[in-house]
Amino acid sequence: MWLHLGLLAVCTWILPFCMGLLPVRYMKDEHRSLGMIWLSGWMMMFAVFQLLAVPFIVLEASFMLAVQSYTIVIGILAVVFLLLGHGSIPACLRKIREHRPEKEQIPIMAIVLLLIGVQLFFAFHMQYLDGDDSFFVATSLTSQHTDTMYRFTPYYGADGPLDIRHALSTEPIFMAWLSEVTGIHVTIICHSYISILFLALMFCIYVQAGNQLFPLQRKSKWLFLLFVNLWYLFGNVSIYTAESFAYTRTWQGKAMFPNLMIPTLFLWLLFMAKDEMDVGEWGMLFIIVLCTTFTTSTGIFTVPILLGLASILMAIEKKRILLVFQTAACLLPCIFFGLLYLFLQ
Amino acid sequence: MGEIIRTTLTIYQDYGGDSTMTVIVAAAILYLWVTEEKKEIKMLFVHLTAGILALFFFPLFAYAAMHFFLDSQVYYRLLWLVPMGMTVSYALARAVSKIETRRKRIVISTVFALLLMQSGSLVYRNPMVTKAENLYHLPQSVIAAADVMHVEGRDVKAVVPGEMLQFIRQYDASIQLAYGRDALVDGWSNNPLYEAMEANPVRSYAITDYAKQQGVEYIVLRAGTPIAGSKPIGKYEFSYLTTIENYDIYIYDRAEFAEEKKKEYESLTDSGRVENYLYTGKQEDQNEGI
Repeated sequence: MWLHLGLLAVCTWILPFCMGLLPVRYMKDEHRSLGMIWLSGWMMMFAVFQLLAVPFIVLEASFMLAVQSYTIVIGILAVVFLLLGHGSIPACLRKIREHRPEKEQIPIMAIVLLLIGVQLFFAFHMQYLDGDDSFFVATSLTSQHTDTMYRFTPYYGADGPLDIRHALSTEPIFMAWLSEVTGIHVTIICHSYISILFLALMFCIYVQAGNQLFPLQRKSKWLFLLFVNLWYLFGNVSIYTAESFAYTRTWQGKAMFPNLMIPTLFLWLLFMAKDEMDVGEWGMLFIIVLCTTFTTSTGIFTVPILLGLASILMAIEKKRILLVFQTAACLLPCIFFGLLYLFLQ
Repeated sequence: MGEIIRTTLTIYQDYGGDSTMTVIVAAAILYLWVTEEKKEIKMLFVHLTAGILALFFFPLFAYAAMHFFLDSQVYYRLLWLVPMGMTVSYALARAVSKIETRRKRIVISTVFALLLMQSGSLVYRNPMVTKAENLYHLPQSVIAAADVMHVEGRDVKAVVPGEMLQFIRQYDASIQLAYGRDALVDGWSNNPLYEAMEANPVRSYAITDYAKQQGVEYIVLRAGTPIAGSKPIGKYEFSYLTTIENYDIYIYDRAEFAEEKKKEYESLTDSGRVENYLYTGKQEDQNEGI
């Protein structure tokens, strides 16, 4: 068991951390933090998977071939990124030392951390029997069982043509990869581990957003995080809200989209609005857009609306038309996968 | 045009349910529009979010989106582009930060926190959220039934009650089903075996005949399910195998692995078990129009 848990720790903590080192090295100093490394690392892992898995899926190659290829590629990239990007670590550690919490903010910080802890505990101990898992989680398990991807219907296991509607969003196959590499059943991974991990990642994104919104008022940042926690906890007002999806289907791509991808995109829009975009930030914006296609096909249509509208507003406000073209370049993954979908349909 | 406006309004109302969530978001945007001095924040949390909401309600856009990109079932996802939690939390934290005395800040923060709690619905109070029975977060009965049906090195085909449909293949993908979760959703599937399985009482001839036609090797019924017909299920080449977690499992006698399975579960079979069988005469089976 310890070997399996060790492998899970390597895949979900060490690999993302290594993968995040290089992009963060090229970001502005004020954006660098351990949280940003972890967040960027996850985005890099998703993006590399999407780029690598889609050709295998479209060409109807075997699942194991995709697993082996990704494992080798991500392993090599992690080592290279660690070697080239390890210089970011001292800067991040220095920031932690410099930003020790003040006495006055400790109580609210404790409440926020307690609330997050409670949510992670409940994510492990409570279950929500979601019907869509019979598609998404069963797709992961069916891929492992049949050594194919999006060929067998997960609902009952019959062979059929390639399911192109879902095939371009590879998130369930990523979960199957995680299961294959760690040797842990994919349903346990999704329901008892990713449900905790991605909630933690979501709050990590909000911490970064809080740093941007309240750069000099740390007490307000923790208050912001308290309200975010309450908003999410009490956001189960219908089955449609992003907040409901966050707790009841954390591991599904369509829950990752509004709860991981959209807040991350808004974090990047804050960088853009504050004129804090460096090479690393622009590169990562491209990667994040690529990740939205990894989570759900909805992203292919909706992300260009969000970024397009935002870039037009900023271009008008800042009188810099170049922003529209730079953002359009970052939207290329959506355009590419949109066209690919139309071509394969 | 009127139809599309009504549809978007309904989608928007359904999104917020009975809560005041959307009102709070609108109030936060309004507050930031009036008071926010930082241009970049105003641009994102006021102009951009208002722009997305305007697009959401704009009939031509809504029509094009629902017909060419997202269907009306998932049009609500456009609202995910509005960072509601981030906008409201920022507005509340900002409002508190403008208060000068510490005591007032604590009082107002508490009021805001209570407002969020009062207006929303705690996710853990959702009746669908229950204590996990195992690490899979699946019903234990499904796992137990799947373990009985599993045959090493090959796939098997089963038909199971509706409540098991969406879980069993999350646990064991080697168990194929005659129909899946799609049968539960109106219009997704039209398998007569589903109708036969969910009938009350189930007809022994109907379920076994449809099962044979579809290559089914296991029939799983809720224990005590009333079975009607001219003969019990066992007379139609489906032998009772075992009962587990309140589910009766029958195995097709001609399945390659049937004898081995029967031996495996021989000692576990409840000899005193009485099937809830009701003899209805030969005419019944002929009238089923199979």
